[in-house]
Amino acid sequence: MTSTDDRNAGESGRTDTDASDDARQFGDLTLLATDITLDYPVRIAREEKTRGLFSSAGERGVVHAVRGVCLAARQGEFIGLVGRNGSGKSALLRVLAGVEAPTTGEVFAASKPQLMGVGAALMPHLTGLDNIRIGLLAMGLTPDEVQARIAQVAELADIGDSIRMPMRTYSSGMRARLRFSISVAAEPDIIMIDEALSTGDDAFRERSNQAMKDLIARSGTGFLVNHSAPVIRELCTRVVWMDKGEIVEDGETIRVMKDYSMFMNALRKHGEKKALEVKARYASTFEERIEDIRRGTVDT
Amino acid sequence: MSTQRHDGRPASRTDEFRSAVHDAYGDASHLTSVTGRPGLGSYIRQLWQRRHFIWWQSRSRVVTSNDDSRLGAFWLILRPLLDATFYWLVFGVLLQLDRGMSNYVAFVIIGVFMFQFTGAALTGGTRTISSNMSLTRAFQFPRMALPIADLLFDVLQRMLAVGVMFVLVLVIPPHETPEWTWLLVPVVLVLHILMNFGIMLLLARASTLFPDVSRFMQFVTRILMYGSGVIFPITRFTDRYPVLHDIIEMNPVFVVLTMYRDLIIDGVMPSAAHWVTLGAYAVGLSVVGFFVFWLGEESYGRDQYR
Repeated sequence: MTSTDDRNAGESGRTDTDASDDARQFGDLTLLATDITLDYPVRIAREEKTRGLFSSAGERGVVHAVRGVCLAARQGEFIGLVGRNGSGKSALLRVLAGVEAPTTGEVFAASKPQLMGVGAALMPHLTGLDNIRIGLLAMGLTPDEVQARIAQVAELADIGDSIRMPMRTYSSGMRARLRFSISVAAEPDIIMIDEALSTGDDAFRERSNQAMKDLIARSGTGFLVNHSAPVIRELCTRVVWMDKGEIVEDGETIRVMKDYSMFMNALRKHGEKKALEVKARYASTFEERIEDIRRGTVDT
Repeated sequence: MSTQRHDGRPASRTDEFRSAVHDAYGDASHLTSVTGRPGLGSYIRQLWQRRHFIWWQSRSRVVTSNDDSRLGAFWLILRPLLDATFYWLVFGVLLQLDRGMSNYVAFVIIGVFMFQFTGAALTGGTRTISSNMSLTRAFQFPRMALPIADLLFDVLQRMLAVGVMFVLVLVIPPHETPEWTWLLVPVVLVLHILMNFGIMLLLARASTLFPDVSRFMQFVTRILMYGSGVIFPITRFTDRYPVLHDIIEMNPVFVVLTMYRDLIIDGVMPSAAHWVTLGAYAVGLSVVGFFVFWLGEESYGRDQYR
């Protein structure tokens, strides 16, 4: 069995070690999602008509955001979710985090996942410090723990005097920094990050990457939705490529990212039809994925 | 951990995946569902654990709620003061109405102030889920913390208004004098808060199932205002019609306003029937509301405007 020493992955590149014995680098199972589907009822407006006052908003339709996703994650894994816009990455993440209930299927986790998404200010009229306090309390920390960590969170966010200003005055980058810092402060065992860090500047990217690496080193599990291939390559031990609500490929970062970039190139240069051919070439069936899990070759 | 799903898909897919994971990654029995709602017992425990969150959230909001004005927190006192002055000028000075009552101005002030409390619960309940969406999406906590924090926020603000109300009832002629029955006002207030709590929880759930509920609320509030004798003694009309009388006696807002007035203006003990009615509504609404809200726990993170 060949496996990859993923925890040290990064600038130094990957070091392939021949671990012929059964010594796993990844710990216990931390998250199990079985056959997740997520449907949204929507109204689809008729294209040719301008909507009148009392006319209906359109035909009833259903958007299948996620269609039958099975996923398992272990301690020490940092899983990148990639896919084009609308492929169901964020929807899946919200379901995995338990924020949104799936239409069918179930998610089981070793502890409550902490989801960190792009979003508005938490409590816009309160200062950054108040938001930190209330966020930490919301995650279930005791007032003593909050008191002990508040300075540490402010330091990680590193937004200067703005920390004492109302959150509604923050730029989107500053909001993301504060939210991220609050999210990691509770030391969640499972963290899920949805795009949020892409608004941070380079200085913060370094700090946040370090914070995430620390989390993985503590045997946490991470999920990351990001459109930046270098970020995925630096942080993730494993990548799940999604398209149209389904998993196309699930495996070791370099392999999946290579296939995914072929797909994106085809999409960019030759359009949808050609891209789907590329996708078909790399897509693994459910049976193949099961086989991968049984043989322990998901990460290789 | 349940193993079977009956959603039309072949169960084998779930089972196959589960057994592969079990064989390769080990046992999954230490995992718990993130999607399911917790049992009632553990829900209450989690809620208790978040008491500091509830307290800080409502406290901070009271403190900052008037930051968009120059006078700031003084508005918490100024607003009820202006409200009451208005009613005193209109009914006490201009119209000089007494409607055969010893202290009509106090009647109106108590009516309006205490009615606003339930009015706030009616509109607040329908908004509590949608207005707190960013917290819901950011953190995992029992969602009932949100309506509780909203209620607490309102109660904290309201306490100053209640203080103003007592001062004015003493100051505005014909002056009321403190009586021993005033000591029972907090008891009625607690039952009133419990009742509002139940109303908020029921409306919070209702508004996620049927968003149009919030549009109805201003009409419901108006009907309740006239049907509860807020600014005129409704019993004058209803006493002539036994059916109406029975209906009005079933209206918890009428009952609670009558009890406040009994205690504060007349200095008498409210009737046993009123105590029973209010108590029943307070306990009934809050217990039913708690249960109904808990049933919908999973649905509150969902966008309501799809």
